[in-house]
Amino acid sequence: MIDRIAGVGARFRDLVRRSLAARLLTIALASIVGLVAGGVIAYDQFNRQMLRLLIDPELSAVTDNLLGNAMPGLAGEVALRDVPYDPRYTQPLSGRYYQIARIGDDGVLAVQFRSPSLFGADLALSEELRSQLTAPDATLAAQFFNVTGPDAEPLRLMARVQEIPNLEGRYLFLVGVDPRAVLAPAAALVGLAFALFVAFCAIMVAAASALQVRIGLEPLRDLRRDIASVRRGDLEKLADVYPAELQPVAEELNALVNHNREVVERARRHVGNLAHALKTPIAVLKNAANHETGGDAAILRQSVEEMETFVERQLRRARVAARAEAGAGAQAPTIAYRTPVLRNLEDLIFMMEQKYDTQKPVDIVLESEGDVTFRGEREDLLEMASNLIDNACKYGRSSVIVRLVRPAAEPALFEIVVEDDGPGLSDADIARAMTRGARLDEAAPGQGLGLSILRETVDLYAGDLLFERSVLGGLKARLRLPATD
Amino acid sequence: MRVLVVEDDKNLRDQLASALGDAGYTVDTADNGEDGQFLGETEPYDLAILDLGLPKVDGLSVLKAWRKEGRTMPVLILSARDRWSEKVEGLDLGANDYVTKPFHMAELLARVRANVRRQTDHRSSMLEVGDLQLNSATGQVSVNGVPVKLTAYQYKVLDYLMHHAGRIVSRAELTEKIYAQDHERDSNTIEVFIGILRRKIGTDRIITEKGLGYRLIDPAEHK
Repeated sequence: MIDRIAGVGARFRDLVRRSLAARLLTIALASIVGLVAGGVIAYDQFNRQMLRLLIDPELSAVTDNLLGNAMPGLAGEVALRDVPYDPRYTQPLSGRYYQIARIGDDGVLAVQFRSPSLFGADLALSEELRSQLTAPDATLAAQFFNVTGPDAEPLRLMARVQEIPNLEGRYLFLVGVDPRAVLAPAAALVGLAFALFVAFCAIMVAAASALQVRIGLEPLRDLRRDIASVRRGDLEKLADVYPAELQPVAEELNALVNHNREVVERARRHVGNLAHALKTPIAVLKNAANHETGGDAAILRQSVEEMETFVERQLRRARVAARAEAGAGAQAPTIAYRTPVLRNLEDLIFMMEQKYDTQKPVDIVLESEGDVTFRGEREDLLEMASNLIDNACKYGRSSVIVRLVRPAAEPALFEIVVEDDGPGLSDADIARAMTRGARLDEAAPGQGLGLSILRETVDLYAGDLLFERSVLGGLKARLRLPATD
Repeated sequence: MRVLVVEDDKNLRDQLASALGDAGYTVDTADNGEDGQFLGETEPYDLAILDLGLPKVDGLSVLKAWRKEGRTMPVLILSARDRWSEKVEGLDLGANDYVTKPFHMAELLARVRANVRRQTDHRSSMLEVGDLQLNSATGQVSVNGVPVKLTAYQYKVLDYLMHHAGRIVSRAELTEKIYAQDHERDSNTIEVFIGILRRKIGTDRIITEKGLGYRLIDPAEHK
C-alpha cells in the first residue's frame, strides 16, 4: 500500500516536472483545496458568532429573571417567586433548561431547583468545570460554556455564581439552550450560500488556470513554431517578439545558431588560407616551368600539373569536410540558412562568361520563372551550381542553358537544370554517373574531378543529381535541392 | 600603360612584373594591402592586379576602398581562395575580372590586354546609339538606363559595333580587331559573342546581313 502511494507520488512528481500544464493545474488544485478549507473554517466561525449574538442575550435574560425571583423557601432551600414564563422551559427535554444549586463548603453541588424540562435530571458538568465554578474565589461574573445536555444535545450554557438574600452560602445559576433549535431555520440557507460561494470560487480558479495554460503558455507554442521555422530555413533567426521570460531563451538559441555558423565559417576560412598558401607557390612553379625549355622543363611542367590537380582535389574535399570537422554534423547546413538562388546564378553565370571569355566564348542562357529560395548555404549552392555550369561550359561547344525550375508537383523542391551542346556522355557513362558513390574520374578526368565531391554536398541536403541526354545534344544535369518560402 | 600589381608572394610578384614588363606595360608593385591601396588611390593606373589574401589589408577591402574613392580602373582579382562566395563578392564590389591561381601567364596577359583596352581606346567618353549607352571612361554599358554586365571581350565587340553604328561590319574585320594580339581564333566565336550581346542588349539592335556581317542600329529609327 505504501509502495503504491510512493509509486503514484513519484509518477505525479514526474508529470509535474515534465508538464508545465500539470504544474499550473496542480497549483490551481491546491488553491481550490485551500479555498474549500477556508470556507469550512469561515462557516464554523460564522456559526459561533451567530450563537453569541442570538443565544447569549436570552441566557442572560433568563438568568437575570431567576436571580430576581430567587427567595428563601420554607425548608431553608432556594425557591422561586415566579418561574420563567417561556413554556419551552416546562416541556420535557425541550432543549431549554435552568438549574439552581447550592455550592457546598467542600465544593459539592446540591441541586435545589430545576426547570421542569429537565424532567428530574441534572445539568451535568464536567469535574473540571465544576471545580472551576465552585472554587471559593470563583468569579461572580457570567460565564459561557458549551456542554452536553440531558438529551445528549449540544448545549450553550451560562453560569453565574451568586448569593441570595436571606440565604446562607453561594448558589450556582445555570441556564442552557440547545443552539440547534435557534439556528435550525437559517442553517440550511446559510450552509447552501457558503457551499455555493465556495463552489463558485473553485470554478473561477479552475477556469483561470485553464486560461493560464491556454493563453499563458501561448508564447511557448509561438517560440516552438518559430524555432521550427528557423530549422527549416524559413526564418533567418528568432525575432525580438517574445515575452521577457522567454526572450533570453530566444537569444541563447540565436547565439547557438550563430556560433554554429561561425565554427563552419572559421573552418572554411582555414581551408581558404591553406589554399592560398599552397596555390601561390604552385603558380610560381608553373610560370617558371613554362619559361624553361628542354627535357627537364617538360618533366617539371607535368609534375606541377599533377601537383595542381592533387592539391585542387584535396582542398575541395577539405572544404566539404570542414563542416563535419567543425562538429556541426550532417544536419548543419539545413539550419537557418536561406539563399536566394536567381541572383547567385546570375553572378555565377557572369563569372563563367569571364572565365571562358578569352578561351572560347560560351553563350550561357538563364531561364527562370521567378526567384526561389534555397534552404541551405550560399557557399554550397555556388559550389554545386558552379561545378555543373563549369562542366557544361568546358564540354559544350558554344551554348549552355541554365534553367531554374520549381516543379508544381513538389513545392518543397527546386531544380537547377544545366544543358550543353557538347558531345555528352554515352548511355553507359550516364548510368554510371547516376550510381551513388560513382566516380567518373577514370572515364573523364576533368568531369570526374568534382563529381564525387558534388555528390557529397548534394547528399548533405538530401538533394538529388540526375543526368540525362539534352535536346541540345550534350549532357543535361538536373540538380534537385530543398526550397523554402 | 601603367599596371599595378598587389601580390604578397615575392616570386609570383617578380614573375608577374617581368611578364607584364615584357608585354610593354609599366609595372608598379606592392607586397601588402596597405601600400597597394595607397598606390591605387594616388597613382593613375590603367589596370590593377589584386591578390585577395594580402597582409595588413585584405584584397576585398582594398577593392572596396578604391571604388569608394571613385577609382574606376579595371581590377583583375588574383585568387587562390577558390571560394565562390568570395569571387561573387569581389564581382559585386566592382572587380572586372578574376583569375584563379595557379594560372597560365599567357591567359592572364590576354585578360589584362582585354581589360586595359576597355578604357584607353577612345578619347570620347560616351557613345550612344538610341537608348544604348557605352561609357568608355568607366566601362559601363546601359540600355535605357539599366546597366548591363559585359565581359571584356563582349565589351570589345559591342564597342567596335557602336563605333561603326549603322555600317556593316564583317566577321573577319571583327575577329581581326578583337583578337589583334591574341592567338588565332575561330571566327565562329564572333557569332557566339553576337548571340550573347543580342540577349543582353536586345535582339533587334544587331542585324545579321547575310554573307556580309553585322550592323548595329537604333531600333526606334527602323520601325
